[in-house]
Amino acid sequence: MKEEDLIKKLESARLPEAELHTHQRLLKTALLEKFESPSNKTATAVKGRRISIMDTITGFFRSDRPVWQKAMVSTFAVVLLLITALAINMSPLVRDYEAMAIEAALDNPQVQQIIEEEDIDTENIKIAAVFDTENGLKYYVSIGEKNIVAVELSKWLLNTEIVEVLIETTPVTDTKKQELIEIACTNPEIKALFEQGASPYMYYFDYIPAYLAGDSFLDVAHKASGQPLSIKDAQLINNDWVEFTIRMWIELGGNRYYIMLDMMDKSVFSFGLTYI
Amino acid sequence: MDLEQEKELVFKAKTDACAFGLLYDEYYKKIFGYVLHRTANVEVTKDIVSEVFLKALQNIGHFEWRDIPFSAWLYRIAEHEISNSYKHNKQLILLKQDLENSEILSDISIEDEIVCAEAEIQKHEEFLLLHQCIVKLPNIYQEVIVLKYFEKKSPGEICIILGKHEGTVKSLLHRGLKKLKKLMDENATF
Repeated sequence: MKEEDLIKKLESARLPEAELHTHQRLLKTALLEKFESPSNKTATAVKGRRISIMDTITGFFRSDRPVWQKAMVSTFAVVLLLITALAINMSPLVRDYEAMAIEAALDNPQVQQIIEEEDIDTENIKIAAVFDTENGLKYYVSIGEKNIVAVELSKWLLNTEIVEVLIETTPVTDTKKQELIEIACTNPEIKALFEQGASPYMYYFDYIPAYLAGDSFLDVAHKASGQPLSIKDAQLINNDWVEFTIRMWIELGGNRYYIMLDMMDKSVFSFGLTYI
Repeated sequence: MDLEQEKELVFKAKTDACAFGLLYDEYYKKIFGYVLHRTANVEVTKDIVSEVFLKALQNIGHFEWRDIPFSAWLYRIAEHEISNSYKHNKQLILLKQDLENSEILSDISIEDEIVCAEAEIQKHEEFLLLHQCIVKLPNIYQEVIVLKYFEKKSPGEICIILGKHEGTVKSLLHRGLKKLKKLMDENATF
């Protein structure tokens, strides 16, 4: 083979364009959750230096310098500390996204009504999960045991803001509940949990347009760009929409499990322990 | 995104998760593609790409802007991870637990996607044959050949990514092609 032929071969080779959308999404979520690490590292590095700074300060105050000098330095240090503390509090770079999500949820009148009606303690309002979305971050805030609220924080223009608050708890009738348990029990491990007394405490429904119902689960998931179809669409549900997946959370003896049901195949798609 | 916008974003990404997320969105596919073309293995690519972005996240605080695209830095990290994975055949598990935890809450599993992606790679016989020979070359030649012919990088971009002078890159490419040609000829005789 001539070198020119090899170059042509290399230049014209058709390359695989494989992509892992789910990995891309999950990795981003995992990384953003780890984002505090760099600042922690900085804090650790600063701590190392602080020993020598502390030594210098101690040395200064133990020295034979005049008292007025020591007093002036102390006053200056206190003022500097106050200014720094104020600046940190006011800095837009210091954001507690989780607190913002909870605050947004609590500002919502529907959430306020739920809290009032169900007499929910604020200690039971917490972040259940965080997902990366096209627009930014989506926090699931659990309000007591039975309700979950999704809060989206926009990332655009680097300004984080509350996009919307949605009540996502799906009311489930007893018949529907029975149907879901039956599907879940096709998995022997889940069946064993129900036999030991497990009970569902939260549901989340995803719907797809009916014309996609004939496609395979993975095809539909890819068409939806790996993102779950929002419950907003479900509010429009009519004959044109069908159930795609139903996520069900169950509890048994302090352990909580997550089950995802493939409603097209009426089977269990995934199952595992969860911290929600 | 032009260099000036990128500079601003990189600066913000040192303290702002959303800014880091935007950089991630911008470069995930490029880095994934590069690593895939180097390894021809989706599972390994997935692990290396996870490591690349984790290292980027951990070190972005020390990143100094020198009018060089951020992607060049990511390519360098990727290169380092690729050679490490070859050298030690190590299991990259730093983020594995996090990903597994997130996957419990996900709609489709990564494993299913990997199966689809591996099937896609198997369709590219010509690429696989070339890759089979390229991986037998020393790392530095692999790097320069993949960047030039698969990633379609200009000589200038390759110099920036590798941190080498243009003359060195040209000579690496020349020698790399000769070695590759020899390997291809040997392969053809069997």
